[in-house]
Amino acid sequence: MRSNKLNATQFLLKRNLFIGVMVFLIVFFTLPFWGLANIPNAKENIMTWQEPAYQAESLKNVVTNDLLNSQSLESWVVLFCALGFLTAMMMMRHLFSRRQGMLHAALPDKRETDFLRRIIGYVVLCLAPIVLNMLLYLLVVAVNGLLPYVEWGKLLAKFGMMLLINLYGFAIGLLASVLTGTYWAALLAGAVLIVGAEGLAYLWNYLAGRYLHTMITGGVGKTLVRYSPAFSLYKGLYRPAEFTWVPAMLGIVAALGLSFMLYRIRKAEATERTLAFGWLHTVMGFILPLMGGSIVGIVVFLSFLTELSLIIGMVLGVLLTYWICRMIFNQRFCGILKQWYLPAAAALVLILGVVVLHTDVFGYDHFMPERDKLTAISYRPQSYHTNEIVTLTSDEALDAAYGWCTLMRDEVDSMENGIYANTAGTSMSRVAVTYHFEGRTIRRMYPNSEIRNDAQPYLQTIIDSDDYKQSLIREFHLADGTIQNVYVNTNGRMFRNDELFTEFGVMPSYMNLDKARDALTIDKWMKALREDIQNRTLADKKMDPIFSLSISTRDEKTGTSDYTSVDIYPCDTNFLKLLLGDKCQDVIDYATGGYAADEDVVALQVTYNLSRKEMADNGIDMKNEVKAIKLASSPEEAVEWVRCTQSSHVGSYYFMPDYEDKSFSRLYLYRKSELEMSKTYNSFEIPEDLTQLYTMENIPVGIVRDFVGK
Amino acid sequence: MLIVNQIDKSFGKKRAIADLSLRLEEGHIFGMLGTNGAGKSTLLRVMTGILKPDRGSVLLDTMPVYENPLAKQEICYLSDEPTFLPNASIAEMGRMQAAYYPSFDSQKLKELCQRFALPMNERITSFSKGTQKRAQICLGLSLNPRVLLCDETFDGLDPVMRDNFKRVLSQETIDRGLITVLAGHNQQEMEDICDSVGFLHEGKLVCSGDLDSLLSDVHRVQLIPAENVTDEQLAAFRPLRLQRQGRLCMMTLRGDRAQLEMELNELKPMFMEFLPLSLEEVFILEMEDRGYAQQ
Repeated sequence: MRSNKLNATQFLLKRNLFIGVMVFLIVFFTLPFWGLANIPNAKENIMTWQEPAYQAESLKNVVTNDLLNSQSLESWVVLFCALGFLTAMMMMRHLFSRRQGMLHAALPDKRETDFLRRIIGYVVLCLAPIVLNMLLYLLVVAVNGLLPYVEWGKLLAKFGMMLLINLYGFAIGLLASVLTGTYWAALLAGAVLIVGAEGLAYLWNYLAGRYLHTMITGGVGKTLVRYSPAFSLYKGLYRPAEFTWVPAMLGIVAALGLSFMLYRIRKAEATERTLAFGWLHTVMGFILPLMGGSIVGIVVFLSFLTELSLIIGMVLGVLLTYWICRMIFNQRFCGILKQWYLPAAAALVLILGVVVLHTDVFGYDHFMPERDKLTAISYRPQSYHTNEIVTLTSDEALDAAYGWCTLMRDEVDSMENGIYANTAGTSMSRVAVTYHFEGRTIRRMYPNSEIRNDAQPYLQTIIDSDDYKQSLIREFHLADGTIQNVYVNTNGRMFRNDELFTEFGVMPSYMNLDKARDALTIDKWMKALREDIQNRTLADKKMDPIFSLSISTRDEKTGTSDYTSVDIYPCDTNFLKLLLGDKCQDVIDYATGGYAADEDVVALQVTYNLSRKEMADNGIDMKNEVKAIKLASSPEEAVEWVRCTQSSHVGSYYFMPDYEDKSFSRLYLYRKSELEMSKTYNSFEIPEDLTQLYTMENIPVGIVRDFVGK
Repeated sequence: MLIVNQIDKSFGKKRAIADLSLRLEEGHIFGMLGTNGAGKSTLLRVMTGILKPDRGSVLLDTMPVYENPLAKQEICYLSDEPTFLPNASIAEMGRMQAAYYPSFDSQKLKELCQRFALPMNERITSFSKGTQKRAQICLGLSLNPRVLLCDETFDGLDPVMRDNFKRVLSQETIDRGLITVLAGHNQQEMEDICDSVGFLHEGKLVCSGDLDSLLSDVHRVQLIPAENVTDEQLAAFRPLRLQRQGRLCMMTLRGDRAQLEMELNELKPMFMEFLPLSLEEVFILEMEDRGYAQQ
């Protein structure tokens, strides 16, 4: 025996040196080795093929971005978290063996000291090898002469996030090990600790979205980033600059602190038990069935699509999970009856949750902040042509927006409660509203399926307000000088895209602007568009857009990029003149209805016996309630009809006005050439009486529009 | 001095130790006999500071043992299942002990290994069960503990090694005042080296004391009473056991021998002889007395 005496920490490190070697090798083959294998080749390719102007950017990508591209980031998260977690389990492996546990418990050592030794073990055997590998990667970069191309801020931030993820994995691994007494139980506990609450949040967010008409389910991800340590770290690795420190640091500190406290009081006899603490049987006997019940309930619901199936699935899931848990906890086959009140309580909580959602006990859908307390309302019509996010702050505009929201809220109140709330509304027009008040925000998604005249005055006020116009200018970056590219797209709802070219020689896709080449033109276009937006009225918004602009921006100050789309209406004459020159008026005339004058077009006006709402509510086939069908007698009449109709696209409900309660009329436009082309394929004959086209099946309908006020 | 003070220890609903007290002086070897599941190993683990008692305390002099490194440094526990670090050799285990125990003597470990014929650099897991026991004993003794707690340590040792161990133990007791607790079922070994013995049953120390006094308290008497002596007269002695073969009676009685002899002479026996009892027999009688055999 050698006489060199080690202290307890040194001995622990020596005994566990293999962990450090394993960690080093694993990270080595994913970091420095990756650099060794890829950087020289990539560098050679760039130097050989690329122009000098682009070489620096490409080399930056090689040393920073290629390594940390989004695909590999997923793997990094899993790898570093798993390394931390497994290191913790290995450092705590004496907790999983009764004999080793006894051996350790007999040693003259305080638990506190022993715990700190294992933390030191983690730092030396896991964290240090990872840091060493990061330095080795930089060495590889330096040896290849690419150190000047390293984006230090980006690379170090990502490296820092990796270490933090590793630390989080370790902290959770410690807690999972202390709470359990076997390896597999610790692995399961780790999974539950890392994503259990988040998974439950997702499941219930999904369910709540099914029940509540106004809930925005897409917000759960953002909420989890704000409150979940795992999510904030995961997202933080993608965008370190937006990393939310609080949940991650709280998670790490809480897991370490709790591990420390529980390690101190953990009984030596707890080794080889599934759960190390008696009270965990009660806690897990309730929480795990709650999770299992939620999962099984939703799975069964998705198969049968009834509320009863959801509840039965939940109860079955609770019982099954509890039974499995009991068998896992006791490590033998056992019955379900012991502590029966735990699954009963879990099932009750789940059913209560369903009842709360079904009846909307807390008035989620009905709730609106008081008008006096509101400082702003933001809204965004969904399914609408473009991404209009409008924020209103002036009293007049706020009043109008509040009134409009009240109408939409009343529409929600009249809807039946049930689990299909949001699925039934997938084809609806919707408006996402954010209420700003007292430093808080509340978001709701209002369905806007009813077309009502009483909303018109509110919309009129909103659209006429300066708030609205300034909001659009801000939203579309029309004044901030950040626009990099502008692409012009035709709006295909009124005519085929190729018609602009065949009729007027206009090919919008050639009208693309790049800031590097066309900065002056972009400025000119944006100025014209700003003026047009200032002059738009509600009547203008009821028209269909002719073009849309795709705008990409980059703010050099903040380093953020954006992409947005702006509709161009026939009223936007300043802009259209710049775009179309002397063909401007002709294009406007054609796009707003002139296309219907073509002899190829057949225009039918169909009037129905009932209102559209009545038909939709009662599932009535519109073709069974036809009152009259009229064929346009001349091209002029067809054009006139187009000009007094609006697109029936659901996105337009937002501006849909002047609707009759008891009856309504629709305009159907067909193209004879299209009918001719498809008649053989779809087995139909073109009738002599063209009004019969409406009742025929499988024929191509060109355009459907709604008559306003008829 | 090692003081066990009114300790209770339960595992779930099972009470392993119930209100047990014990006091062991320096230079004392205490033997602990017990029925299966009586709580011997649990008691030793509580005394080592591995398990925390639900109630009561274990003190080494005035120091509580549980979570007290200073006290635990003085105590060595040789468990019934020798346990070592995975894939460790005796030398590696010695290094671990050197890291935790200031009193560890590596020279002594070498000497003991030679005495017990143990290779120091081979993996202990490759040893036979008996050799592992020997390794455990050597490692334990090399700590120079003040208290040695042995759980069925003699089991698995061959007679030569058993004798060797007993001699080392006696020597350490004399030289350093080592306090030793030997728990197990091997009464012969206990009789050989223990100063005092305790019987553990259902978590309680049902009987304890000096070996001599324990053995002198119970007697087996063979006698042929006078013809007019009735069974009722014999039963009045409250024998622990009473067997009759014709006129020959075999009685096991508790009490002072002189007193019993005087009282039995009043029955005017034709023949009377006091036979010696072994520790095993005393233990069996005590346990039967508590209804253990009937269980």
